[in-house]
Amino acid sequence: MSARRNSEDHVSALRLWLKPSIIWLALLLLLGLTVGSAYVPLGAFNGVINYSIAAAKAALVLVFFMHLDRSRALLRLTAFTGLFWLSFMFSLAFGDYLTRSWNGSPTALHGAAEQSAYPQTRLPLDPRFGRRD
Amino acid sequence: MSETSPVLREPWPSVARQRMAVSFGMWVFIASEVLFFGGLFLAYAVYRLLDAEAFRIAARETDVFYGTTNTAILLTSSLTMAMAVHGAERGFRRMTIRCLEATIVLGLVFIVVKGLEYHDDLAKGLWPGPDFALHPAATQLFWAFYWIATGLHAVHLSIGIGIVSVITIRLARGTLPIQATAFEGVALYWHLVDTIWIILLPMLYLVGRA
Repeated sequence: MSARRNSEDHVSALRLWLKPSIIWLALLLLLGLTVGSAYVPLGAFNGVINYSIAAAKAALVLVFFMHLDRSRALLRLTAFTGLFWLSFMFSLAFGDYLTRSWNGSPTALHGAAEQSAYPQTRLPLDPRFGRRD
Repeated sequence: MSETSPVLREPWPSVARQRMAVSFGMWVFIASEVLFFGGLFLAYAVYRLLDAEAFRIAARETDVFYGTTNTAILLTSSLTMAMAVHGAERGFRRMTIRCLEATIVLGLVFIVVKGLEYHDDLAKGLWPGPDFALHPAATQLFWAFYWIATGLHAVHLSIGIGIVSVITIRLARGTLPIQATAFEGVALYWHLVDTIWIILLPMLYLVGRA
């Protein structure tokens, strides 16, 4: 391998680093942003911001580091499948927990008044199976 | 009509198809991992809904410094892993080996930092049980999640370090050609482990700070 070939490889290797390094800087910037914002009292929006930034970071990794930007449809669909079923799992579970008072949910539509969410130290029990003293 | 290549394995007719199969298989596995960790995340979300105040009290006790440092370490390891794949695609053997080595080192540093953090957590009495340091009792649910989630993540990362070590050693010894289809599959797994940590960061370290 000639010296000329070597230096060409070197330049091309450096150029290779450019885009992934920008993604990496963006990820670190988002990390700083999410940790910083966590200390600013924003009420419910702390959570909104933190999870939005986490989703943005995950998206950067999925799209650029895991190459979904250049993947064929089969791989994109497969990647999407896991999240798709995850959305069912969350929707069905929260369909229960957000609407049924017997689960002890503080935000339940019915019977919320008689149950205080805090301090609740026991796991919620289904009254059909007994003791709720 | 099959091509001949040192990296081509049965039953694929071409290296391109084999490459596709590696990525497809790994993405199917990743989808199953998403649901595996998703079950944990769901349990966390439900108990946080049921007792938000206890979760705020409990989460304040995690160490943001360790958590943030380890996130930066893993994000950087994802960069070196991605560069290893880019290097392998262009046949840059030396660069690929260096990047894989950096990935292994960063993974090990993560484990060490995690170990220091675990040591501090245990010293603060944050292992759920009769001597647990916090009240109300539901704070133990958060910490049970903390130990299970970070423990499972550390197991995944250790497996990742093992696999990356194997391909690095084989590449350095010359028993694995630079054209091998394994790199992308290993990288996908590594990035998955990074992504899980990205989601864990706000769940474990950023609750109840404001």
